[in-house]
Amino acid sequence: MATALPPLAQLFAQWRLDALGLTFAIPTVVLVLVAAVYAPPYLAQARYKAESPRRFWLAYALFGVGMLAAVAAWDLLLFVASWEVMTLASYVLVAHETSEAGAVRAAFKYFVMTHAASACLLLAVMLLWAEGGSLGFDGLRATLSTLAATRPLLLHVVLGLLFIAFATKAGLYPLGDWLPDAHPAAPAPVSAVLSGIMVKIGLYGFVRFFVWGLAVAAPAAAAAWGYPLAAAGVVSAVLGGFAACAAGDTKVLLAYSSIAQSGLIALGIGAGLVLAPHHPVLAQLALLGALFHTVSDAAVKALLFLVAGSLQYRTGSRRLDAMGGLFHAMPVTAWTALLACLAIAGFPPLTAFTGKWLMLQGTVLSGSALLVAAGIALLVASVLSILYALKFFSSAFLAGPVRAGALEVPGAMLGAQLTLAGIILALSVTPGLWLGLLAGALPGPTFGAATVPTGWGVFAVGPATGAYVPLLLVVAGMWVCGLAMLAVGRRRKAPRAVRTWMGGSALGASLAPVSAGGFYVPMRESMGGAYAGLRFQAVRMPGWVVPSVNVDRWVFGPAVRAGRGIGEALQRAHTGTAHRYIIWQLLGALALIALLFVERA
Amino acid sequence: MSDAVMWGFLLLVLVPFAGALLVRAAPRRAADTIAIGTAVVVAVVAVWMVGAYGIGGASLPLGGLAVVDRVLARHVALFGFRLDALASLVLLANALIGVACILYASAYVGSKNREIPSSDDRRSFYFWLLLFVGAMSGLVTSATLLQLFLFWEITTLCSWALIGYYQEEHGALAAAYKAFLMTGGGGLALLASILILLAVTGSVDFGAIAQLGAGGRAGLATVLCVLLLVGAWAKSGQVPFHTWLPDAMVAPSPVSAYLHAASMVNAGAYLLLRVVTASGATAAGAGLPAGAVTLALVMGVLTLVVAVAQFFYQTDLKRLLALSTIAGLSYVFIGAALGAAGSPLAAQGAALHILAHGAGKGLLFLAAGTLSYACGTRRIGDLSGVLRRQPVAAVGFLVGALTVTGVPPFAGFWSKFTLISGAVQLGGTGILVAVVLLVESVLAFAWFLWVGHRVFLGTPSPAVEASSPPAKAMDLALILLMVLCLAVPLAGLPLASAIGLGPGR
Repeated sequence: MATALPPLAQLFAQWRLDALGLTFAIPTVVLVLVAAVYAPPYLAQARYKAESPRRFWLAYALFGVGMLAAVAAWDLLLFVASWEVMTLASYVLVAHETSEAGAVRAAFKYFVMTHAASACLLLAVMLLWAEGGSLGFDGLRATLSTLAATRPLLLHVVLGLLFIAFATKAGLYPLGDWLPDAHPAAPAPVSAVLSGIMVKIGLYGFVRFFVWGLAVAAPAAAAAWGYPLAAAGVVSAVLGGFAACAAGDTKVLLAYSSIAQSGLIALGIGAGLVLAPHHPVLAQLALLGALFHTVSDAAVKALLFLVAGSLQYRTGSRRLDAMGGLFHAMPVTAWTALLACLAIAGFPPLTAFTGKWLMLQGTVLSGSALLVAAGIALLVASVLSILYALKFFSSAFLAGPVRAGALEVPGAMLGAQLTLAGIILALSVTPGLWLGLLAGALPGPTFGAATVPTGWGVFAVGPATGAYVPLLLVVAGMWVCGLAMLAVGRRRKAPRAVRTWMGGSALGASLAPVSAGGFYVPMRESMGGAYAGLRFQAVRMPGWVVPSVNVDRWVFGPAVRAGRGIGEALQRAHTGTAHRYIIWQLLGALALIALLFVERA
Repeated sequence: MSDAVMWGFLLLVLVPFAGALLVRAAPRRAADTIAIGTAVVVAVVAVWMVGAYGIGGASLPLGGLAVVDRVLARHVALFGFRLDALASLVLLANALIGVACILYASAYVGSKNREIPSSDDRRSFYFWLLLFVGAMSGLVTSATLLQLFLFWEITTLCSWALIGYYQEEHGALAAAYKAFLMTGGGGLALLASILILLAVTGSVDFGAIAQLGAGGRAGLATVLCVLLLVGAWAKSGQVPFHTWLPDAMVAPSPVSAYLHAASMVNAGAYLLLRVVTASGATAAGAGLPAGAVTLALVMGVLTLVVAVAQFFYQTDLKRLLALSTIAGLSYVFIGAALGAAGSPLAAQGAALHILAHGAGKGLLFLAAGTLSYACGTRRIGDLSGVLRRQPVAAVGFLVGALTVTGVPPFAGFWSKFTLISGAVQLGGTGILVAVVLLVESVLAFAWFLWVGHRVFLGTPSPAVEASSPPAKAMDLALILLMVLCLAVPLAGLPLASAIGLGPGR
């Protein structure tokens, strides 16, 4: 039993960035910097005029530091402390638009849910400390294996608490219900960092504690927890996808998409945990897919949120109905949005495909019916992502009459978007290189068995099975496009301007566009309400509670009144007249004499 | 070295007493300087003593009374001073927060206060406040129960005088009387416990009750413990003696911050911790009777629940903070009870929480006081948009709330982590208590955030629009306390880690 906290100097020296930490730290730094470049022109908008920029930047700096500290902490106490700092700073950022009541409410809900999750994390850390006697990550595996051997019930309680904490932060259904409210309410650069990185830090918690720690220390327990994790991932991915297809607001759509992508990553991690004891090669594939998807989704989701912010900047609204026809007005934004939408839809050769491809192989080739079903759910989620990516891009940029005039956003915002687009392209073309680096993040020897892919291609299970070389696809695609352009360009005619034909009557062009509300109406009607959110009921205490515990009324009030009553009764003996006092003295003297006579006798 | 120790102890008690007399006799214009100067001297002496002897310990026995020795037929040590890690933490709280509060009061209590303007002649105010500083310093450095009781009663008197300072305010004198009756009544219970202990065992050491229990008279030891607990509960505003504290909020805000958050109400909790750390762990066969420990734990949890339940009904900012103080002190009682049950970590966390909670709660009260000084009201419904007009008070409120609810890196996080870890280590009931404490933490933080959001953000309300600028002294006091909230772990954690359970501590 520990008898004191370790000295502060020792406590604050426990930092380490191993390969797993770097996997999350590098995207953190990149995204925080990119969003910081994007933020100044965005925050200069009229809606944020009344807010204090100092508060924003202080909270933003603390937020970035908190996230980095969370992945670099090598000690349970430091981890928890960084987690809380990260949560609090992000609350301040989400509530940045303080005059907007909806934003304040969303931030409050976010805060309460994540703070409750932090309390679960705190309790789990304390239980681990009480059991293991040490707070450092070095002793974590030993503590977990001891618990698994001697007190399995306590181990599962600890793991359950950790699960709740990390699932809330990662946005998995149903604990992630704060996400659809908080991400839209926050300013766009903050949403980009929240979705791109903070949600991934919840998943980092899963990887660190369940994969790095538990799967090495107690593989059977890890496999048991892989199932609920994968199940939560599947549900989040599918329900999030449906809800995104039903959304009519850019950032709400992207928030549900974040939930869905989180679910996919959780699915990969869960599948890896389940497969680890018996199929280490497939487990490594699933985990590599999950980690690669984490990194790629960070860039893609951040870019999408920045695009949504740019759209809001120019059109003044988040509603997809209010946009349309912006492709020629905002060309750079539109091309980066196209790249991001194709990426999130999972088109090869772009990044998300690689991650999903690996996770699919890990699940489908396993032979376990549950995992194969999970793989099919992954495919369903991928189809849904194509659907909502299409909806997003079409409603915002394509549908509707072309808006004239240069409506492009300021240079800093464009620069941020282009940086992210470049990162996505770099990740897409050479996945083998990045996967080789990521393989170092998994703890060997449990996950070190498979062929580590390097270089230009992904040779997953072997050169003949599941091989995928995106560069070849890019080169082939370029050839085909080049040939097509040559062929079309030869027979190009001059364009004719015609009026829109609406079956007999000439209607205005304003009736032509496809509104966002027109997308997927049957699906929206049947499945749109599938993501049932949590509704907080205001707790009202019955009226009789407080008066009944009012000790003053029942005990002290009557006691003081009784005391005062006795005092007043006694006071009546003091009438002030001499006669009464003489009578009292006489009576007293007589009583004393009588007593003395009795004594004598 | 013993000379320096002797001077240190004497200065801690005599300088404030002398200062009190001096300020009463001095001309009006010099009163502020004398009061603040005295507080600074006491703080310097306290910091020096803690720095030099905090971890190692220092003591100054002062013997007994000839008449008592004659009656009991042996020499009984009735008086003495002692400084160890536990006393250091509470002494630092008393001295450092005292400086901030007296500095604050020099601007707050007077004619410029828009909520309750009063006379600018603060001499009688400082007299009672400095008397209290000396009494509290004496209380925490007492080596025996009897000496502790003497200083205890002086603090009761000072509290009565200070609560009723605004004599014309509605309910002030009644609140002072109520506080006096309750804390004085508790003091009588404590006196009974001490006298019975002296008569039966011939000793007034802190560990004497536990020795009584170990010697086979567990029933008597339990009775004495319960009497002692009654005294502690009354002083610290715990259930069922908790109703005087919210009513005592008619006092000036520096008094509420100092006496009723950071210093006097800690006396009961300190007494319990002192007895627990001197007695050793119950599980080891020594220590306090199990029944009394269970009672202390149950009443602590009950107090926590009752206090937090009433949060949601409050419309007055200071009453909300008073209930939060009751909840914070119940943490210390719970930690002390768990320490008695065998967890040294819980006792350490409780001791550190006295300092951390005091700094944070003091800061909250002073920030609320700035609002009432400048805007003329303390009702939550009338205040909004304060951040723009009174930024220092707003930031102070935020820092105080973060400290009290336990957000890193502020002081409350460390004390709560240690305390709740101590609870978890005991297993079984301890884990249940830990869950209750964590739930309370989340609820309290959520409510503070909600209130803070309503009061500080948004558009300024009419009362806030017309607010006057705060005085420099008040801002300085707030900043001092904010620094303290951050700096407490640096000195507090080594001191807390030096606290252990067992006789001779």
